[in-house]
Amino acid sequence: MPDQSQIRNFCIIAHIDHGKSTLADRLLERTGTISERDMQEQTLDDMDLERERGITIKSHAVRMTYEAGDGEAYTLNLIDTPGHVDFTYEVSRALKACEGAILLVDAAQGIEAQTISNLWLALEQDLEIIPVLNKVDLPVARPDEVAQSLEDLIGEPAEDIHRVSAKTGEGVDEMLEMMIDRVPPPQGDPDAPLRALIFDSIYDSYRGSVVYARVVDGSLEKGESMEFMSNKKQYDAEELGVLRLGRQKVDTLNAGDVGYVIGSIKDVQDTRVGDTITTVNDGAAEPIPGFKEVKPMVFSGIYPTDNENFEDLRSALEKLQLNDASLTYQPETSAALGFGFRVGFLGLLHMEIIQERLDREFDLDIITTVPNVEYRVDVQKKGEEDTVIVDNPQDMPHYGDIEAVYEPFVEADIITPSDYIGNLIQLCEDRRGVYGKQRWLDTERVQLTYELPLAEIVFDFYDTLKSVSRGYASFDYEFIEYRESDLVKLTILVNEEPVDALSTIVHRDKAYNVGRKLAKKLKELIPRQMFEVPIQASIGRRIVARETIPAHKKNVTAKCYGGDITRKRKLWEQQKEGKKRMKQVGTVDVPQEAFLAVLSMDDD
Amino acid sequence: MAGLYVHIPFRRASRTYDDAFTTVSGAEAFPEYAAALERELIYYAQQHASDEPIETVYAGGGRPSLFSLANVRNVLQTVLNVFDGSTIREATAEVNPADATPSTLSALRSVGFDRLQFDVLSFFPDDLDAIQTPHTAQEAVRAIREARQAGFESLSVDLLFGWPGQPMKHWQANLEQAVDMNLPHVTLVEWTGDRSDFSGTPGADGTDAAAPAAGGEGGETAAAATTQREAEVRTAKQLQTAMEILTGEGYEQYELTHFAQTGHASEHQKNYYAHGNYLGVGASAHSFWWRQRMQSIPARRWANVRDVPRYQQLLSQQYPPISFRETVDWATLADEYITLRLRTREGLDLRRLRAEYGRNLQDEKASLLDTLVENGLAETDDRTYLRLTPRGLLVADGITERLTR
Repeated sequence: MPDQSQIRNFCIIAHIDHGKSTLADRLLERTGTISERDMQEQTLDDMDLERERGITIKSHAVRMTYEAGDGEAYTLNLIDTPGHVDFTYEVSRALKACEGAILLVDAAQGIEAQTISNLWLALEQDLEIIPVLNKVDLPVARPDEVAQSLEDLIGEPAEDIHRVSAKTGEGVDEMLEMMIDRVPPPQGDPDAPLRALIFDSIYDSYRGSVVYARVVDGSLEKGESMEFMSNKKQYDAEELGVLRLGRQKVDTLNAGDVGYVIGSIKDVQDTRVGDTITTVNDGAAEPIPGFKEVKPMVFSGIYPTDNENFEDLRSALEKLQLNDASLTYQPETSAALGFGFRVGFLGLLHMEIIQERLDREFDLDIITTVPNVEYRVDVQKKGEEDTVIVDNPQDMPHYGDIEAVYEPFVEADIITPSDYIGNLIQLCEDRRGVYGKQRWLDTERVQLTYELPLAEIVFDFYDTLKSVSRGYASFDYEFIEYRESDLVKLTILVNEEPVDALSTIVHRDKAYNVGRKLAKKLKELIPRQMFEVPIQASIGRRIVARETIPAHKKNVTAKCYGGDITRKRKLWEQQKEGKKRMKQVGTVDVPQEAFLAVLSMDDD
Repeated sequence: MAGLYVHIPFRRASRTYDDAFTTVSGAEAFPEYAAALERELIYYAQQHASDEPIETVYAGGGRPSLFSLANVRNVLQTVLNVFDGSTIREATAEVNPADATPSTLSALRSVGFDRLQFDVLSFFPDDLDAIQTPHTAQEAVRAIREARQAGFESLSVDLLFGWPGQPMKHWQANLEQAVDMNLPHVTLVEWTGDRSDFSGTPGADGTDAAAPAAGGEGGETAAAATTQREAEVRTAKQLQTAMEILTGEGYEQYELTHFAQTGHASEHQKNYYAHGNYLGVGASAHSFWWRQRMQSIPARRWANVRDVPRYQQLLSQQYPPISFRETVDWATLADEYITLRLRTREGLDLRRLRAEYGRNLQDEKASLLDTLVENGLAETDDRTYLRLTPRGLLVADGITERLTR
C-alpha cells in the first residue's frame, strides 16, 4: 500500500461534450492502466444510454499508477462525476472524495453553465482547482480568449492555464505532472477510527450492493464488521478492493485510498451516497459531514398501456431502483389510466433516462403523464388549517378550501452568446422568472441569472431554451426555496368527463391560455371516434375552452362475406397493435401523446 | 341450416374493381376443374352431410357463367348426390351480364338454379368504361329482361360505389334504375381496387372530386390523408343515399350492403351473417363448421389453396386441398358473432350471445351501450337486442371494435 503522500485523488469537471471522457481515456493509456488496443471508446461510461447521450450518469472510479518526473510512483485515483444538473448532490459527494479537480473547458466553446455550477461545487469542497483548456488542436479554438474568461472567473492568470488536446494526447503528460505537484495528498489520520465516504454504489445481482468509497481516516480490513452511520446498518466487509478497469481484491483499504466494499448487502437503500462507513468495533464518533437524503424534484405518473402489465412495471421499477437509490415510486390509480405508479425523479434528464430504460431494457409499453413538481398547499376546511403536499394534480384540494399554494423555485444560470440574450430574457419572463443578474464572461458570452418556478422548467423549458438560442445557450439550476404563487388546477374534460391524467396545475394568469391551447392540441391528437367528442378545459366550475372532435363519417367495410372474416380478424389485430399506445378514457380512445399534449403546445 | 359455396375462379381478363381471387384462363381448363370440385365434394364435403342439412347453394367467383353448362350440370348433380337435395331452398348463380344469353339462362334454370346475381355495377356506359368491365350497360339491361323471360323471379344486381371519380348523380340514378326495374334484390359493392393504379377517367359530371390517381406521384402524407378523408366523406354519402332511396322504396336493408323486397332476401347471405355453418368448395374457398354450437365442440375454419393447378393436383392425389385451418376459440367466436350480427337489420341478440357464446355485453359494456343509444348510433329493445341505426351502420366497424375488446 502506498504512503498517503504518494496518492492523488482527483476528478475532472466539465460541461457536456467538453471532452471529459476522452481525457479520461488518455489518462488510462498514459498510465498503462489499459492498452490502446483494449481501449473501447470512452471506457468509463459503460451504460449504453450514457454512451449514446454522451453523458455520464453514474460515477465510477479508477486507480492508475504513474511514474512521475521526480522518479516516484504515484497512485492516482480518478473519480468520475456525473455531468448533469439533476445529479448535483451526487457530484458534490464525488467531489468530496477528492483533493483536487481538473476544470476542463472546451477552448472553442468556452465556459458553459455546467462549468460554473460544477466549479462552485468544487470550491465549496475546498478542492485544488486546475483549469485546463481542451481541444486546442481545433481550428475554431480560441484559447487566449477562453483563458482570459477563466482568469476572470477563478483568478488563475490566463498565461498559466494549461492547454491540452485530449484527442491527440498533446499536453496530457504535463498536466499529470502539474496535478501531482499541485493537488495535495490525502491528509487523513491513518490511526483514527475508520471513516470512509460512500460516493457511489452499484448493484451486482450476485454480490448485492457494491459500495464505492474513499477512506478518509483509519483503515478497513477484509472480514471486519462495518456500520453505515446514517442508518446504523451493519455488514461484514467480505471483499475489499480497488478499481482498475475491473475489481482487484485487496486485504486492507487505508486512509487516502479509494476502493470498493462488498458485504452481501441486499438493499441498495442501505448504502446511500454521502453516508460514512465506520467499523462496528471502535467506530468513529462523528460521520463525515454533509450527508443528506436526496429528494425527488420532478414527478410523473407511469402506467402500463395494458393494465395486465402492472406487475411487470413494478418489477422493472424495483430493478431500476437497485442501481439508482434516488428513484422513488409508489402505486397510484387514475380513473383514466388504471393502476400505475407516481415516480419521483431528481430532474428532467433523470426522468427521461428512466422512461427510456423502461422501454428499452424491459420492453414495457408505458404511458407517462405530464411531469410536475411538488406543491405545498395550505388548506382550511371546516375551520381547521392544514398543509398538504401535492405531487399530482389530481390530489389538489378542492378550490374552495385552498388558502395558499407554494411551489419550488430554482436559481437558474444561463450562459449564452450575447446575440440571444433578448430571446432568453423573453423566455424567462414568459416562464414567470424573476431577473437576478447579468454578467459578461468575455466579449461575446453572457451569464444570465434568473429565479424561476421549477414547474416552468419542467414544461419544455430546456428545448425552448435550445431553440431560441440555436443550441448555443447552456443552462443549469439549483433549488432555492418554496414560494407562494397564485396557482390553479386546470381540469380537462373529454366527452364531459374530467380526465384526471390530463389535468395540470398552472398559474392563474396563464390558465385561460393554456386551457385554450391544450383543448386545441387534444383535438388534433385524439383520433375521430364514432360520435362527436367535446373537449373542455375548466378552472373550478368555469369552462374556459371548448373544442369538438367531429365524428367518423364512415368506418365500415362494405364487403364482409362470411368467408372474409379471417381477413377482417387480421385487420382487427393490426388495429389492436396500433392501439397499443391508446388508452380508453370512458368510450374515447386517447393516444399516449395526448397525455403529454401540454408539453407540445404551440407557443403562438 | 348450412350453406354451400362453390367457387369458380375464372375470368377472361383482369379487372380493376374487386379483389376476389380469380384466374385468367380459357375453356380448356374447365373440365379438370369441374372434376376437382366433384372430388372435393365427394371426399371431403360429404363428411359433413350428416351434421346438418344444406339449404342454400351459391356458385360464385370471377365469372362462373363462363363455365360450360355441361360442367355446371355435373357439379350440381354431384352436390345433389352428396347432400340431401330436398332440403335445398335456394340456389344462386353469379352471372356476368355479357354471358347472359337466353340459352345459358334457361340452362341454368333447368339444372336447378332459382336465383341470379348479376355483376351490373352501373347502368352508365361511361362508368363501365372507367372501371373496365367485360360487359356493357346495354348487356346489363338485356340480361335482366332475358332472365325474367327464362322464368327467374329472384334477381339481384351488384352496384359498385366508392370508385375514384364516381359521379354522385350516376350513383343515385343507378339506384333509382334498380327500383324502376323492380329488381327484388340489390347488393352494394364497395370498390376495393388499388387507388394508385386506377386509370379511370372522372365521370361526365365534373362536380365530383377529381380522381386521386391523377396526382399520384406527389405521395405526401398530408395530401393522402386529405384524399382519404374526402373518399370517406364521399363513400359515406353514397351509402347513405342508397339506404335512403332503397328503404324509401320499400326494400329492407337486411344487412349493411344487402337490400331486398319482401321474400327476396338471400337465405345464403343471411346464413353468413347469422354465423351459420357453410362449406366452401373450390380453390381459395373458405369454410366454417361448428357442429351443435356448443363450447365443448370445437368450431373449425379452413381455406383451400388458391392456386388452381395445385388445388386440382392435391385432389387428384386424394389429399385435402387445404392451405389454412384453425380451431376458433370461444372468445373469437363471440367476436365474430357480434361483428356479423351488428351489420344486420335483425341486430345482435344479446341473450343468445350470453347463452351460446358466453359473452355478457349487457353487463360488460353497459356504459358503452348507453353511449351508443344516447348518440343515436344504436337502438336496444329492453337490452335484449342491439340494433344499429342507419348512422350506426356507417361506423359499424368502430362500434364492433369497441364492443369486442
